[in-house]
Amino acid sequence: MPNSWKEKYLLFQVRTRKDPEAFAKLYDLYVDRIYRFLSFKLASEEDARDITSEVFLRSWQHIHDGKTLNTPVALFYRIARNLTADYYRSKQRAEVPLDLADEEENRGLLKEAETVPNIADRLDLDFKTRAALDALRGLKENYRELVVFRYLDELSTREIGEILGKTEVNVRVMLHRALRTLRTVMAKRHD
Amino acid sequence: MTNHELKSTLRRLSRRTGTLSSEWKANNREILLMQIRNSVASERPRLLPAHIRLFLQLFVPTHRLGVFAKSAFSFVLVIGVVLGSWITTSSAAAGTLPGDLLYPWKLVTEAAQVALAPDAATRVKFHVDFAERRLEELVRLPGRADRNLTEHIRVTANRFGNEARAVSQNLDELRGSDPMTMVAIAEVVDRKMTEYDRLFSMTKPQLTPSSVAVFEAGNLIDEAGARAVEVIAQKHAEGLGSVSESLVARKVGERIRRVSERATAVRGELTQLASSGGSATSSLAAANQVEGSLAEAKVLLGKKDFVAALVKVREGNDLVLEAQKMTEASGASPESVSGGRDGSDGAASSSVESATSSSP
Repeated sequence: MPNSWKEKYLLFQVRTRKDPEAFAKLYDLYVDRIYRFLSFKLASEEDARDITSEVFLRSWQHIHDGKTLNTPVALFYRIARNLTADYYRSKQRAEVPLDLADEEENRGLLKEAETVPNIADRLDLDFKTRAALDALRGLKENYRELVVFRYLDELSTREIGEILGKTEVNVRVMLHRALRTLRTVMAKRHD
Repeated sequence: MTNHELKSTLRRLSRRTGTLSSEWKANNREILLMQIRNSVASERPRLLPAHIRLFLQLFVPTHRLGVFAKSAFSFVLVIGVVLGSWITTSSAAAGTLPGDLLYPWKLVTEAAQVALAPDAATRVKFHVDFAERRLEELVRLPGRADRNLTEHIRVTANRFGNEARAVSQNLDELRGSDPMTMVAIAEVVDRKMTEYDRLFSMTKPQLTPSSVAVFEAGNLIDEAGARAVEVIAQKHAEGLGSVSESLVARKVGERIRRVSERATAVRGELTQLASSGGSATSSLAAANQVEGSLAEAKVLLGKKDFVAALVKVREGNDLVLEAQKMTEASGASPESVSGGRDGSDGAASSSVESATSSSP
Protein backbone atom coordinates (compact mmCIF):
# COMPACT_ATOMS: atom_id res chain seq x y z
CA MET A 1 0.00 0.00 0.00
CA PRO A 2 1.50 3.38 -0.92
CA ASN A 3 2.70 5.43 2.06
CA SER A 4 0.04 8.08 1.59
CA TRP A 5 -2.72 5.45 1.55
CA LYS A 6 -1.27 3.80 4.65
CA GLU A 7 -1.32 7.17 6.41
CA LYS A 8 -4.87 7.87 5.26
CA TYR A 9 -5.99 4.50 6.52
CA LEU A 10 -4.29 5.06 9.90
CA LEU A 11 -5.96 8.45 10.14
CA PHE A 12 -9.30 6.84 9.34
CA GLN A 13 -8.74 4.37 12.19
CA VAL A 14 -7.90 7.21 14.57
CA ARG A 15 -10.90 9.31 13.60
CA THR A 16 -13.51 6.58 13.63
CA ARG A 17 -12.26 4.04 16.13
CA LYS A 18 -10.15 6.32 18.32
CA ASP A 19 -7.42 3.71 17.89
CA PRO A 20 -4.32 4.66 19.93
CA GLU A 21 -2.16 2.07 18.17
CA ALA A 22 -2.99 3.55 14.77
CA PHE A 23 -2.01 6.98 16.10
CA ALA A 24 1.20 5.54 17.50
CA LYS A 25 2.05 4.26 13.99
CA LEU A 26 1.57 7.79 12.63
CA TYR A 27 3.88 8.95 15.41
CA ASP A 28 6.53 6.45 14.23
CA LEU A 29 6.26 7.79 10.67
CA TYR A 30 6.58 11.45 11.61
CA VAL A 31 8.44 11.90 14.90
CA ASP A 32 11.92 12.25 13.35
CA ARG A 33 10.78 14.74 10.74
CA ILE A 34 8.92 16.91 13.24
CA TYR A 35 11.89 16.89 15.59
CA ARG A 36 14.26 17.90 12.79
CA PHE A 37 11.92 20.70 11.74
CA LEU A 38 11.77 21.97 15.32
CA SER A 39 15.52 21.67 15.87
CA PHE A 40 15.93 24.36 13.21
CA LYS A 41 13.52 26.64 14.99
CA LEU A 42 14.37 26.27 18.65
CA ALA A 43 17.36 27.15 20.78
CA SER A 44 17.86 23.85 22.56
CA GLU A 45 17.47 20.17 21.85
CA GLU A 46 15.48 19.79 25.04
CA ASP A 47 12.92 22.36 23.93
CA ALA A 48 12.72 20.68 20.52
CA ARG A 49 12.05 17.31 22.18
CA ASP A 50 9.43 18.76 24.53
CA ILE A 51 7.58 20.45 21.73
CA THR A 52 7.83 17.34 19.56
CA SER A 53 5.95 15.43 22.26
CA GLU A 54 3.43 18.22 22.54
CA VAL A 55 2.81 18.21 18.77
CA PHE A 56 1.55 14.65 18.84
CA LEU A 57 -0.57 15.11 21.92
CA ARG A 58 -2.18 18.23 20.48
CA SER A 59 -2.72 16.44 17.16
CA TRP A 60 -4.60 13.66 18.90
CA GLN A 61 -6.75 16.27 20.62
CA HIS A 62 -7.29 18.12 17.35
CA ILE A 63 -8.53 14.98 15.63
CA HIS A 64 -10.90 14.16 18.45
CA ASP A 65 -12.33 17.61 18.61
CA GLY A 66 -13.57 16.78 15.11
CA LYS A 67 -11.61 19.65 13.50
CA THR A 68 -11.10 19.59 9.75
CA LEU A 69 -7.80 18.32 8.50
CA ASN A 70 -6.43 17.18 5.19
CA THR A 71 -3.48 14.90 5.75
CA PRO A 72 -1.27 13.88 8.67
CA VAL A 73 1.68 15.85 7.26
CA ALA A 74 -0.31 19.11 7.16
CA LEU A 75 -1.70 18.48 10.65
CA PHE A 76 1.59 17.74 12.40
CA TYR A 77 3.60 20.49 10.75
CA ARG A 78 0.93 23.13 11.26
CA ILE A 79 0.69 22.30 14.94
CA ALA A 80 4.48 22.33 15.20
CA ARG A 81 4.61 25.82 13.67
CA ASN A 82 1.87 27.08 15.96
CA LEU A 83 3.51 25.65 19.07
CA THR A 84 6.83 27.24 18.11
CA ALA A 85 5.16 30.61 17.75
CA ASP A 86 3.45 30.15 21.12
CA TYR A 87 6.77 29.17 22.67
CA TYR A 88 8.48 32.37 21.56
CA ARG A 89 5.51 34.51 22.52
CA SER A 90 5.42 33.09 26.02
CA LYS A 91 9.20 33.42 26.35
CA GLN A 92 9.11 37.04 25.33
CA ARG A 93 6.21 37.86 27.60
CA ALA A 94 8.18 36.45 30.52
CA GLU A 95 11.21 38.62 29.68
CA VAL A 96 9.72 41.80 28.23
CA PRO A 97 7.75 44.42 30.17
CA LEU A 98 4.14 44.91 29.10
CA ASP A 99 4.76 48.27 27.45
CA LEU A 100 7.18 46.66 25.02
CA ALA A 101 4.84 43.76 24.21
CA ASP A 102 4.16 45.18 20.73
CA GLU A 103 7.72 44.33 19.68
CA GLU A 104 7.51 40.70 20.75
CA GLU A 105 6.91 39.37 17.22
CA ASN A 106 10.09 41.02 15.92
CA ARG A 107 12.08 39.79 18.90
CA GLY A 108 10.66 36.34 18.38
CA LEU A 109 11.87 36.37 14.77
CA LEU A 110 15.34 37.54 15.84
CA LYS A 111 15.47 34.82 18.47
CA GLU A 112 14.60 32.24 15.85
CA ALA A 113 17.40 33.49 13.62
CA GLU A 114 19.84 33.10 16.49
CA THR A 115 18.97 29.45 17.05
CA VAL A 116 20.52 28.22 13.83
CA PRO A 117 24.19 28.69 14.78
CA ASN A 118 23.55 26.62 17.90
CA ILE A 119 22.93 23.69 15.63
CA ALA A 120 26.14 24.38 13.73
CA ASP A 121 28.06 24.40 17.01
CA ARG A 122 26.66 21.02 17.99
CA LEU A 123 27.63 19.37 14.75
CA ASP A 124 30.90 18.56 13.12
CA LEU A 125 30.24 19.91 9.62
CA ASP A 126 32.41 20.26 6.55
CA PHE A 127 33.05 23.78 5.32
CA LYS A 128 30.42 23.84 2.58
CA THR A 129 27.68 22.46 4.78
CA ARG A 130 28.53 24.89 7.53
CA ALA A 131 28.47 27.74 5.03
CA ALA A 132 25.01 26.64 3.89
CA LEU A 133 23.81 26.46 7.47
CA ASP A 134 25.18 29.93 8.26
CA ALA A 135 23.57 31.31 5.12
CA LEU A 136 20.25 29.71 6.09
CA ARG A 137 20.36 31.86 9.19
CA GLY A 138 20.57 34.96 7.03
CA LEU A 139 17.34 34.19 5.23
CA LYS A 140 14.05 35.66 6.29
CA GLU A 141 11.85 33.29 8.24
CA ASN A 142 9.41 32.25 5.52
CA TYR A 143 12.24 31.49 3.04
CA ARG A 144 14.20 29.54 5.65
CA GLU A 145 11.14 27.52 6.54
CA LEU A 146 10.53 26.65 2.87
CA VAL A 147 14.12 25.51 2.35
CA VAL A 148 13.93 23.34 5.48
CA PHE A 149 10.62 21.82 4.38
CA ARG A 150 11.79 21.06 0.86
CA TYR A 151 15.45 20.09 1.11
CA LEU A 152 15.85 18.91 4.69
CA ASP A 153 12.46 17.40 5.44
CA GLU A 154 12.03 16.42 1.75
CA LEU A 155 8.37 17.35 1.62
CA SER A 156 6.76 17.69 -1.79
CA THR A 157 5.56 21.08 -2.98
CA ARG A 158 2.01 19.80 -2.63
CA GLU A 159 2.57 18.90 1.03
CA ILE A 160 4.24 22.25 1.71
CA GLY A 161 1.28 23.99 0.09
CA GLU A 162 -1.09 22.12 2.40
CA ILE A 163 0.92 23.12 5.48
CA LEU A 164 1.20 26.77 4.53
CA GLY A 165 -2.23 27.10 2.91
CA LYS A 166 -0.72 28.08 -0.45
CA THR A 167 -0.93 26.70 -3.98
CA GLU A 168 1.83 24.53 -5.39
CA VAL A 169 2.74 27.21 -7.90
CA ASN A 170 3.16 29.80 -5.12
CA VAL A 171 5.34 27.39 -3.19
CA ARG A 172 7.57 26.68 -6.19
CA VAL A 173 7.98 30.37 -7.03
CA MET A 174 8.88 31.17 -3.41
CA LEU A 175 11.31 28.23 -3.34
CA HIS A 176 13.08 29.50 -6.47
CA ARG A 177 13.43 32.89 -4.80
CA ALA A 178 14.57 31.37 -1.51
CA LEU A 179 17.32 29.37 -3.23
CA ARG A 180 18.42 32.37 -5.26
CA THR A 181 18.62 34.46 -2.07
CA LEU A 182 20.49 31.66 -0.26
CA ARG A 183 23.05 31.49 -3.07
CA THR A 184 23.45 35.28 -2.95
CA VAL A 185 23.96 35.23 0.83
CA MET A 186 26.51 32.42 0.52
CA ALA A 187 28.38 34.25 -2.24
CA LYS A 188 28.54 37.45 -0.15
CA ARG A 189 29.82 35.60 2.90
CA HIS A 190 32.43 33.81 0.78
CA ASP A 191 33.65 37.22 -0.40
CA MET B 1 27.64 27.26 -6.21
CA THR B 2 25.05 25.93 -8.67
CA ASN B 3 21.49 25.10 -7.68
CA HIS B 4 22.28 21.40 -7.94
CA GLU B 5 25.31 21.69 -5.61
CA LEU B 6 23.35 23.77 -3.14
CA LYS B 7 20.52 21.23 -3.02
CA SER B 8 23.04 18.40 -2.50
CA THR B 9 24.64 20.35 0.35
CA LEU B 10 21.27 20.95 1.97
CA ARG B 11 20.36 17.27 1.66
CA ARG B 12 23.68 16.40 3.26
CA LEU B 13 22.77 18.74 6.09
CA SER B 14 19.45 16.99 6.54
CA ARG B 15 21.24 13.68 7.16
CA ARG B 16 23.34 15.30 9.90
CA THR B 17 20.64 17.08 11.83
CA GLY B 18 17.64 16.33 13.98
CA THR B 19 17.95 12.68 14.93
CA LEU B 20 16.32 11.36 18.04
CA SER B 21 17.67 8.41 19.95
CA SER B 22 15.66 5.17 19.67
CA GLU B 23 15.41 5.10 23.44
CA TRP B 24 13.86 8.56 23.63
CA LYS B 25 11.40 7.74 20.84
CA ALA B 26 10.33 4.48 22.48
CA ASN B 27 9.88 6.09 25.91
CA ASN B 28 8.01 9.03 24.47
CA ARG B 29 5.80 6.69 22.47
CA GLU B 30 4.83 4.84 25.63
CA ILE B 31 4.04 8.08 27.45
CA LEU B 32 1.97 9.31 24.52
CA LEU B 33 0.04 6.04 24.33
CA MET B 34 -0.65 6.21 28.06
CA GLN B 35 -1.93 9.76 27.79
CA ILE B 36 -4.19 9.12 24.84
CA ARG B 37 -5.52 5.82 26.19
CA ASN B 38 -6.68 7.70 29.26
CA SER B 39 -8.71 9.99 27.06
CA VAL B 40 -10.44 7.14 25.23
CA ALA B 41 -13.46 5.20 26.54
CA SER B 42 -12.77 1.51 27.22
CA GLU B 43 -15.28 0.37 24.60
CA ARG B 44 -14.45 1.03 20.94
CA PRO B 45 -17.11 3.11 19.20
CA ARG B 46 -19.45 1.33 16.81
CA LEU B 47 -19.14 1.97 13.11
CA LEU B 48 -21.53 4.77 12.18
CA PRO B 49 -22.89 5.82 8.77
CA ALA B 50 -20.64 8.91 8.93
CA HIS B 51 -17.66 6.58 9.16
CA ILE B 52 -18.61 4.95 5.88
CA ARG B 53 -18.25 8.35 4.21
CA LEU B 54 -14.82 8.77 5.80
CA PHE B 55 -13.80 5.30 4.56
CA LEU B 56 -14.96 6.08 1.03
CA GLN B 57 -12.90 9.29 1.11
CA LEU B 58 -9.80 7.09 1.22
CA PHE B 59 -10.54 6.04 -2.36
CA VAL B 60 -12.91 8.58 -3.89
CA PRO B 61 -12.10 12.29 -3.90
CA THR B 62 -14.50 14.38 -1.82
CA HIS B 63 -15.95 16.20 -4.81
CA ARG B 64 -17.07 12.89 -6.32
CA LEU B 65 -18.61 11.52 -3.18
CA GLY B 66 -21.91 13.20 -3.98
CA VAL B 67 -22.08 11.35 -7.29
CA PHE B 68 -21.09 8.14 -5.58
CA ALA B 69 -23.70 8.52 -2.84
CA LYS B 70 -26.53 9.78 -5.00
CA SER B 71 -26.28 7.07 -7.61
CA ALA B 72 -28.62 4.22 -6.89
CA PHE B 73 -26.08 2.01 -8.65
CA SER B 74 -23.14 2.77 -6.34
CA PHE B 75 -23.92 0.02 -3.84
CA VAL B 76 -24.57 -2.37 -6.73
CA LEU B 77 -21.18 -1.41 -8.15
CA VAL B 78 -19.35 -2.59 -5.02
CA ILE B 79 -21.06 -5.97 -5.27
CA GLY B 80 -20.76 -5.93 -9.05
CA VAL B 81 -16.99 -5.43 -8.97
CA VAL B 82 -16.61 -8.40 -6.67
CA LEU B 83 -18.94 -10.61 -8.69
CA GLY B 84 -17.67 -9.31 -12.03
CA SER B 85 -21.11 -8.33 -13.21
CA TRP B 86 -20.43 -4.65 -13.78
CA ILE B 87 -19.14 -5.12 -17.31
CA THR B 88 -22.50 -4.95 -19.11
CA THR B 89 -23.65 -1.79 -17.42
CA SER B 90 -20.24 -0.18 -17.79
CA SER B 91 -20.30 -0.89 -21.52
CA ALA B 92 -23.67 0.86 -21.76
CA ALA B 93 -22.30 3.82 -19.79
CA ALA B 94 -19.08 4.12 -21.81
CA GLY B 95 -20.33 6.61 -24.42
CA THR B 96 -22.44 8.76 -22.11
CA LEU B 97 -22.02 12.48 -21.51
CA PRO B 98 -22.64 14.67 -18.44
CA GLY B 99 -26.38 14.89 -17.95
CA ASP B 100 -27.08 11.37 -19.22
CA LEU B 101 -28.66 8.88 -16.84
CA LEU B 102 -25.77 6.43 -16.80
CA TYR B 103 -23.01 9.06 -16.70
CA PRO B 104 -22.58 8.82 -12.89
CA TRP B 105 -22.07 5.08 -13.31
CA LYS B 106 -19.26 5.79 -15.78
CA LEU B 107 -17.47 7.98 -13.20
CA VAL B 108 -18.03 5.53 -10.39
CA THR B 109 -16.62 2.68 -12.51
CA GLU B 110 -13.53 4.75 -13.26
CA ALA B 111 -13.08 5.57 -9.56
CA ALA B 112 -13.32 1.89 -8.69
CA GLN B 113 -10.73 0.99 -11.34
CA VAL B 114 -8.29 3.51 -9.87
CA ALA B 115 -9.02 2.35 -6.32
CA LEU B 116 -8.30 -1.25 -7.27
CA ALA B 117 -5.16 -0.45 -9.28
CA PRO B 118 -2.21 -2.41 -7.85
CA ASP B 119 0.47 0.24 -8.31
CA ALA B 120 1.24 3.82 -9.34
CA ALA B 121 2.17 2.79 -12.90
CA THR B 122 -1.30 1.33 -13.48
CA ARG B 123 -2.90 4.40 -11.93
CA VAL B 124 -0.97 6.67 -14.30
CA LYS B 125 -2.29 4.66 -17.26
CA PHE B 126 -5.85 4.87 -15.96
CA HIS B 127 -5.67 8.61 -15.41
CA VAL B 128 -4.20 9.16 -18.89
CA ASP B 129 -7.11 7.16 -20.36
CA PHE B 130 -9.70 8.97 -18.26
CA ALA B 131 -8.22 12.35 -19.28
CA GLU B 132 -8.80 11.27 -22.88
CA ARG B 133 -12.42 10.41 -22.04
CA ARG B 134 -12.99 13.82 -20.44
CA LEU B 135 -11.45 15.50 -23.48
CA GLU B 136 -13.71 13.49 -25.77
CA GLU B 137 -16.70 14.61 -23.68
CA LEU B 138 -15.56 18.24 -23.98
CA VAL B 139 -15.34 17.86 -27.76
CA ARG B 140 -18.83 16.32 -27.97
CA LEU B 141 -20.67 18.52 -25.46
CA PRO B 142 -20.98 21.77 -27.47
CA GLY B 143 -22.77 19.92 -30.28
CA ARG B 144 -25.55 18.77 -28.01
CA ALA B 145 -28.79 20.45 -27.05
CA ASP B 146 -28.33 20.81 -23.30
CA ARG B 147 -30.06 23.21 -20.93
CA ASN B 148 -27.15 23.02 -18.51
CA LEU B 149 -24.40 23.12 -21.12
CA THR B 150 -22.28 25.81 -19.40
CA GLU B 151 -22.29 23.95 -16.11
CA HIS B 152 -21.55 20.60 -17.76
CA ILE B 153 -18.62 22.12 -19.65
CA ARG B 154 -17.27 23.67 -16.47
CA VAL B 155 -17.55 20.44 -14.49
CA THR B 156 -16.08 18.32 -17.28
CA ALA B 157 -13.16 20.73 -17.73
CA ASN B 158 -12.59 20.48 -13.99
CA ARG B 159 -12.54 16.70 -14.20
CA PHE B 160 -10.21 16.83 -17.20
CA GLY B 161 -7.82 19.00 -15.19
CA ASN B 162 -8.10 16.66 -12.21
CA GLU B 163 -7.14 13.65 -14.32
CA ALA B 164 -4.08 15.58 -15.53
CA ARG B 165 -3.22 16.47 -11.96
CA ALA B 166 -3.56 12.83 -10.93
CA VAL B 167 -1.18 11.85 -13.76
CA SER B 168 1.44 14.28 -12.35
CA GLN B 169 0.97 13.04 -8.79
CA ASN B 170 1.23 9.39 -9.73
CA LEU B 171 4.34 10.09 -11.84
CA ASP B 172 5.92 11.41 -8.64
CA GLU B 173 4.99 8.19 -6.86
CA LEU B 174 6.87 6.18 -9.49
CA ARG B 175 10.19 7.46 -8.18
CA GLY B 176 11.13 4.19 -6.51
CA SER B 177 10.14 2.03 -9.50
CA ASP B 178 12.26 0.31 -12.10
CA PRO B 179 13.87 3.07 -14.24
CA MET B 180 12.96 1.48 -17.59
CA THR B 181 9.29 1.32 -16.55
CA MET B 182 9.41 4.93 -15.39
CA VAL B 183 10.85 6.15 -18.67
CA ALA B 184 8.41 4.10 -20.73
CA ILE B 185 5.46 5.50 -18.81
CA ALA B 186 6.86 9.04 -18.90
CA GLU B 187 7.25 8.84 -22.68
CA VAL B 188 3.64 7.73 -23.06
CA VAL B 189 2.48 10.53 -20.77
CA ASP B 190 4.53 13.14 -22.65
CA ARG B 191 3.17 11.97 -26.01
CA LYS B 192 -0.41 11.81 -24.80
CA MET B 193 -0.32 15.17 -23.01
CA THR B 194 1.10 16.83 -26.13
CA GLU B 195 -1.75 15.34 -28.15
CA TYR B 196 -4.37 16.32 -25.58
CA ASP B 197 -2.92 19.82 -25.39
CA ARG B 198 -3.25 20.23 -29.15
CA LEU B 199 -6.82 18.88 -29.22
CA PHE B 200 -7.81 20.90 -26.18
CA SER B 201 -6.48 24.10 -27.76
CA MET B 202 -8.58 23.36 -30.85
CA THR B 203 -11.65 22.65 -28.73
CA LYS B 204 -11.36 25.65 -26.38
CA PRO B 205 -12.94 28.22 -28.73
CA GLN B 206 -16.13 26.13 -28.76
CA LEU B 207 -16.29 25.95 -24.98
CA THR B 208 -17.94 29.34 -24.60
CA PRO B 209 -18.39 31.07 -22.32
CA SER B 210 -14.90 30.10 -21.21
CA SER B 211 -14.33 29.58 -17.51
CA VAL B 212 -11.59 29.31 -14.94
CA ALA B 213 -12.02 25.52 -15.06
CA VAL B 214 -11.19 25.45 -18.78
CA PHE B 215 -8.22 27.75 -18.23
CA GLU B 216 -6.94 25.63 -15.30
CA ALA B 217 -7.36 22.38 -17.24
CA GLY B 218 -4.96 23.64 -19.90
CA ASN B 219 -2.37 24.46 -17.24
CA LEU B 220 -2.71 21.05 -15.62
CA ILE B 221 -2.24 19.22 -18.93
CA ASP B 222 0.91 21.25 -19.50
CA GLU B 223 2.10 20.43 -15.98
CA ALA B 224 1.65 16.69 -16.49
CA GLY B 225 3.62 16.88 -19.74
CA ALA B 226 6.38 18.88 -17.99
CA ARG B 227 6.67 16.29 -15.23
CA ALA B 228 6.99 13.51 -17.78
CA VAL B 229 9.86 15.30 -19.55
CA GLU B 230 11.57 15.87 -16.18
CA VAL B 231 11.40 12.14 -15.46
CA ILE B 232 12.95 11.33 -18.84
CA ALA B 233 15.75 13.89 -18.35
CA GLN B 234 16.42 12.64 -14.83
CA LYS B 235 16.75 9.04 -15.95
CA HIS B 236 19.09 10.09 -18.77
CA ALA B 237 21.22 11.97 -16.22
CA GLU B 238 21.34 8.80 -14.09
CA GLY B 239 22.91 6.98 -17.03
CA LEU B 240 19.96 4.97 -18.30
CA GLY B 241 21.25 3.93 -21.73
CA SER B 242 17.86 3.54 -23.40
CA VAL B 243 17.19 7.31 -23.20
CA SER B 244 19.06 8.99 -26.05
CA GLU B 245 20.65 12.41 -25.67
CA SER B 246 18.99 13.70 -28.84
CA LEU B 247 15.56 12.71 -27.56
CA VAL B 248 16.09 14.52 -24.28
CA ALA B 249 17.54 17.58 -26.02
CA ARG B 250 14.55 17.73 -28.37
CA LYS B 251 12.05 17.47 -25.53
CA VAL B 252 13.79 20.12 -23.45
CA GLY B 253 13.90 22.39 -26.49
CA GLU B 254 10.16 21.89 -26.98
CA ARG B 255 9.50 22.83 -23.38
CA ILE B 256 11.54 26.03 -23.68
CA ARG B 257 9.69 26.93 -26.85
CA ARG B 258 6.30 26.31 -25.29
CA VAL B 259 6.97 28.41 -22.21
CA SER B 260 8.41 31.20 -24.35
CA GLU B 261 5.26 31.21 -26.51
CA ARG B 262 3.05 31.42 -23.45
CA ALA B 263 5.10 34.22 -21.96
CA THR B 264 4.96 36.22 -25.20
CA ALA B 265 1.21 35.78 -25.47
CA VAL B 266 0.67 36.72 -21.82
CA ARG B 267 2.93 39.79 -22.15
CA GLY B 268 0.98 40.92 -25.21
CA GLU B 269 -2.35 40.61 -23.42
CA LEU B 270 -1.04 42.33 -20.29
CA THR B 271 0.35 45.24 -22.31
CA GLN B 272 -3.08 45.64 -23.90
CA LEU B 273 -4.74 45.47 -20.49
CA ALA B 274 -2.36 48.08 -19.07
CA SER B 275 -2.92 50.44 -22.02
CA SER B 276 -6.70 50.22 -21.58
CA GLY B 277 -6.38 51.31 -17.97
CA GLY B 278 -6.24 47.89 -16.32
CA SER B 279 -3.86 47.09 -13.48
CA ALA B 280 -1.09 44.89 -14.82
CA THR B 281 2.21 46.18 -13.45
CA SER B 282 3.11 43.29 -11.16
CA SER B 283 1.85 40.74 -13.68
CA LEU B 284 4.02 42.33 -16.40
CA ALA B 285 7.05 42.30 -14.09
CA ALA B 286 6.58 38.57 -13.50
CA ALA B 287 6.10 37.92 -17.23
CA ASN B 288 9.26 39.90 -18.05
CA GLN B 289 11.35 37.86 -15.63
CA VAL B 290 10.49 34.74 -17.61
CA GLU B 291 12.93 35.59 -20.40
CA GLY B 292 15.80 35.63 -17.91
CA SER B 293 14.98 32.10 -16.76
CA LEU B 294 14.54 30.84 -20.32
CA ALA B 295 17.84 32.43 -21.42
CA GLU B 296 19.59 30.50 -18.66
CA ALA B 297 17.73 27.36 -19.73
CA LYS B 298 19.01 27.74 -23.30
CA VAL B 299 22.59 28.09 -22.07
CA LEU B 300 22.22 24.94 -19.96
CA LEU B 301 20.64 23.11 -22.89
CA GLY B 302 23.66 24.04 -25.01
CA LYS B 303 25.89 22.57 -22.29
CA LYS B 304 23.65 19.43 -22.29
CA ASP B 305 22.78 19.91 -18.60
CA PHE B 306 19.18 18.90 -19.30
CA VAL B 307 18.01 18.51 -15.69
CA ALA B 308 19.24 21.99 -14.74
CA ALA B 309 17.74 23.43 -17.95
CA LEU B 310 14.34 21.99 -17.01
CA VAL B 311 14.61 23.55 -13.55
CA LYS B 312 14.99 26.94 -15.25
CA VAL B 313 12.11 26.18 -17.61
CA ARG B 314 9.95 25.35 -14.63
CA GLU B 315 10.97 28.61 -12.98
CA GLY B 316 9.91 30.46 -16.11
CA ASN B 317 6.64 28.57 -16.38
CA ASP B 318 5.78 29.24 -12.75
CA LEU B 319 6.33 32.95 -13.34
CA VAL B 320 3.99 32.83 -16.35
CA LEU B 321 1.36 31.12 -14.20
CA GLU B 322 1.87 33.70 -11.47
CA ALA B 323 1.36 36.50 -14.01
CA GLN B 324 -1.80 34.82 -15.26
CA LYS B 325 -3.18 34.36 -11.77
CA MET B 326 -2.40 37.93 -10.72
CA THR B 327 -4.19 39.17 -13.80
CA GLU B 328 -7.16 36.92 -13.09
CA ALA B 329 -7.33 38.41 -9.61
CA SER B 330 -7.40 41.90 -11.14
CA GLY B 331 -10.59 40.97 -12.94
CA ALA B 332 -9.42 40.12 -16.49
CA SER B 333 -11.20 37.14 -18.03
CA PRO B 334 -9.28 33.84 -18.18
CA GLU B 335 -9.45 33.70 -21.99
CA SER B 336 -7.68 37.03 -22.32
CA VAL B 337 -4.60 35.71 -20.55
CA SER B 338 -4.65 32.04 -21.42
CA GLY B 339 -1.38 32.31 -23.37
CA GLY B 340 -1.43 30.94 -26.94
CA ARG B 341 0.25 27.72 -27.97
CA ASP B 342 0.31 28.39 -31.70
CA GLY B 343 4.06 28.93 -32.11
CA SER B 344 3.86 32.69 -32.42
CA ASP B 345 7.38 33.28 -31.10
CA GLY B 346 9.62 32.63 -34.10
CA ALA B 347 12.67 34.26 -32.46
CA ALA B 348 12.52 31.94 -29.47
CA SER B 349 12.15 28.91 -31.75
CA SER B 350 15.24 29.70 -33.84
CA SER B 351 17.46 30.40 -30.82
CA VAL B 352 16.35 27.14 -29.20
CA GLU B 353 17.11 25.27 -32.41
CA SER B 354 20.63 26.74 -32.55
CA ALA B 355 21.20 25.71 -28.91
CA THR B 356 20.24 22.14 -29.71
CA SER B 357 21.94 21.91 -33.10
CA SER B 358 25.13 20.42 -31.64
CA SER B 359 23.21 17.41 -30.25
CA PRO B 360 23.75 14.16 -32.18
